Amino acid sequence: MNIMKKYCRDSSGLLFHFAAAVVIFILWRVFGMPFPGTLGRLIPLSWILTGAVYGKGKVPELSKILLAVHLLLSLFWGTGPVVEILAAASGLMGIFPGLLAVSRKRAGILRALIPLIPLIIVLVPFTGDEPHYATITEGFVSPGSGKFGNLTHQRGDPSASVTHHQLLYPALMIPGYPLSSTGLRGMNLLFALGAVMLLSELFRRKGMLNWRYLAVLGFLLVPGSRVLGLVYPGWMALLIFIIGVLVATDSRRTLFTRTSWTVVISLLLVLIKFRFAGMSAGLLLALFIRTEGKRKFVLPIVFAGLIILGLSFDLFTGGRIFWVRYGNMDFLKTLIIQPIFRTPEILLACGASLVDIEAGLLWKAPWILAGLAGLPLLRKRYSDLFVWLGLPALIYFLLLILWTTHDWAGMPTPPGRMLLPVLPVLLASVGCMLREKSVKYLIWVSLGISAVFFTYPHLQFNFADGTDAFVSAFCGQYSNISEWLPSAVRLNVPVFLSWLAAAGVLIWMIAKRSRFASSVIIAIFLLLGCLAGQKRTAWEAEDIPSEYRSYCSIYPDNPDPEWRKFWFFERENMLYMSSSEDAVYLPLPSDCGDSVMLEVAFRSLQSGPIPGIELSCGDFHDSIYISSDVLEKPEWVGYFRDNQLDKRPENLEELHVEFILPVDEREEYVRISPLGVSNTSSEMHGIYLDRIEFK
Amino acid sequence: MMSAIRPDRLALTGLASAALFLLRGISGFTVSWALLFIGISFIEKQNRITFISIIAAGISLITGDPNAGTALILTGLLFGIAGSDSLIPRVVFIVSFSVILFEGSITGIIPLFAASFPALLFKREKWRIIALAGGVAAGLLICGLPVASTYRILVHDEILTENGVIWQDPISVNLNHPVVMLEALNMDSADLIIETSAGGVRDTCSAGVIETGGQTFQIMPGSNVLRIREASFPAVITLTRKWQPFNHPVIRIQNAVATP
Repeated sequence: MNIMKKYCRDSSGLLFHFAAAVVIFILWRVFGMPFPGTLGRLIPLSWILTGAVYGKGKVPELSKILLAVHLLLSLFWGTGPVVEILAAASGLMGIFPGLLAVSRKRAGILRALIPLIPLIIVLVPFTGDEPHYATITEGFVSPGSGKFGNLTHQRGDPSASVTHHQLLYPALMIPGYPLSSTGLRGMNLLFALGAVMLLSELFRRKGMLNWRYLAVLGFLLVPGSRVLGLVYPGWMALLIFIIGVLVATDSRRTLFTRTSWTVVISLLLVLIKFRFAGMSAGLLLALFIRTEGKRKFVLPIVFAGLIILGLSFDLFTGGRIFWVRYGNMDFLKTLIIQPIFRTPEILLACGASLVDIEAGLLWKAPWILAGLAGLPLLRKRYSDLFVWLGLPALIYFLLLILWTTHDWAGMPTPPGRMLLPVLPVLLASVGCMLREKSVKYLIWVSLGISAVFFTYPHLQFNFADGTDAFVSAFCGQYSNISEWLPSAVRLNVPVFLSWLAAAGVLIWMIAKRSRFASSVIIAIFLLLGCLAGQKRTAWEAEDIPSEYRSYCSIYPDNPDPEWRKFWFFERENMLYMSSSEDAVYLPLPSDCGDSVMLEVAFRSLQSGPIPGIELSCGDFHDSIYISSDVLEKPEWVGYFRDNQLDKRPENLEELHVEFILPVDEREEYVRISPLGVSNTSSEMHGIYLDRIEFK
Repeated sequence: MMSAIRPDRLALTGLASAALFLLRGISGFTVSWALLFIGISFIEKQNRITFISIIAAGISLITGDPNAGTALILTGLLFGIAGSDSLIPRVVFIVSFSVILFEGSITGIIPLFAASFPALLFKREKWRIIALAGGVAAGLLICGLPVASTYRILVHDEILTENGVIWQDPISVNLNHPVVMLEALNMDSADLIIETSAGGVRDTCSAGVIETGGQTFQIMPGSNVLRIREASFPAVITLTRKWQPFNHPVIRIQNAVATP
């Protein structure tokens, strides 16, 4: 009996996780929650696995609270889809305290990863470039077997049969190939595990106290968690990069050894993906900065020699090894032209990486504020880490933005995927701030967001159209929140700058350890909530819910941002009205009085009779017939292509027309419909609505 | 004894409530929200439980679904009742609960409300949790699962083609959005073909119905293709199953086509 009691006391954590799994499993069914076959099994399974890896130890207090949150939200799931999402996510989040506690034990990092594996393998769709990489891997093992489909030609490939992707990363996934997509995901989980274990070793060597805890946070927080197990080279590159930093910062080794290793690692990073050349440059620069004595001036000569050697090799192999998407010449031309002609867009992309609602890290990983706030402290306490992790991250980021500008986020792939190289420095930085209350809150809110993504992975796919899937799921189509959120695609300069300023103030407050930082964060969050609930008076046309429109279609009909990649003016989708059946019915604002004024932003493409637009409210109507002119191409485009812009909606001038309509008391809606579109079969002829605003 | 309230908390609570009333007006939702926040600010020893209440209050504002928002307020104040050591905040939470009950946007919460009174009086957190858990169990037994009293009907995206109207994206109806409408403007009568998958039930009775122009058709569990001649619009698809333990009723409309 005593042995039994002792076992229960010592293993209370293990028993709690097992018991919680049973409770969740049964109550999921009692409450009739959706997805009993997937989430209703996977979440209890993750609790069982957490219990198994947890071993001896007390019950994590926070897990109990999160379990209670899950059970209570599960009870209310029938009140709306949002509660259903939160219930499932809180159910998974309950294991996070256990995983973080496990990190301190033997093989803690591996043990912390195990409970997440089933969720990643089963739930995350195999999409985007993943099948593409898998097909290249297949090409090494069993060419043409078509398990992942055929290799499709992508824009910017050297030829129809040769992909622009580097071959080293797909080759490293060969051991996983026999197990199909599961095997490939497994290989990527191994890469992530290796990267995180080495990162924790680096933190340990540099004297950080919470080295294992931080490493597990790397798994659980966006951007790390969103690329966990996905067939993308981010974690692989991070693994190689951390090896480089470990060797280069090992003072027991000679300068020659450290230089040789750094050069090899830099080369490997480029061979993984050309995008990581920025990390290579950062590594070499860090080596130069951190080397003492006159010998360091030999290093630039060595680096220059290596670049010349690499380019000569490239010439010899016909550009196959170091091929950049769209060609090396275009790449170099882009790097020179972008800062000169597209400075505002580059600055916008830099800001968007933090605050943009679709791609920015602030919304998916608010802990980033603490990461940025902790950088001065990191520099002071662990200058080695600051230089060796920070410089490669910075140069990588700048190169990414300079090269890809508005396309830096690589949507529709998961948020933060492209920013994975900044994770190590920000983790190290947040490690210096962990005692702050506001930082703890930010980390736990970020973990909550990660839990939503783990349980509902489809919410992570955005299409660079100004609408965030995560926000849409929480706020719905009728919310006014999109008017107050910063978007680089639907740029509203005051809103965008306000959020940048708010982020700046918060970073400053956290860095200064202000006791009001938490209150300010809560105040901003609540203010946004108050604004979000206001009656809607402006509508982005493509977001108008079906309830308020009849027919119409979205232009372009493919949501993939690749279709809008070479739109030079705006990259928003538009609502295409091409037949007399198409119409929009918007509810009148309750305080509009006896007349209403609307501003309609649209493009009118004439390919037959002149098109027009009509607004009507009851018996009253007003209309205008007009067509848009084709815009001149921007100056910088001329350096890449000579031809004029086609007459397509995205190249047309946007028209802003104000209408004033008398309002009958009985009327509740304003109808907007196209004119001059009957009896025409001309392609693309019609009205392309962008935005409607009640003034 | 009256709980002390810190000046920064007082300022935050006052500003948040004022902003809410100013921007959203006075309603059952805003009043219960303000009371929840006032209750939280009265809790002397802020801990993880009150942090959960704040998060729930924040998300309830952000969400565009008023029913879900109310459920989140309810979650926040139940946590508040369980986690606050002093009496004053617990009383404020119960007043907030009564506003939600009076507003009536969520059904089946009366037993939970009744259970929160003994919870108000218990000094020990453990007993308060037991009282509330008892309320949850009693609520399930007496009233069933709490659900929204009214729902916004989902209107499915339609596409006009040369041959008629199509609804090509799959859409699901379940207990938290049980009604979907297929609208085809200016199409008085058409042949409607709907492909459905229904399930999550433990019998072979119908899971829901399609109503079109006075006609009603049953949707049976399993995969089915329904062909309705001379259907008129809107066609309304409703999940007719109510909550039952160990049932997860769902109807998935895979696609639909209407041809004149």
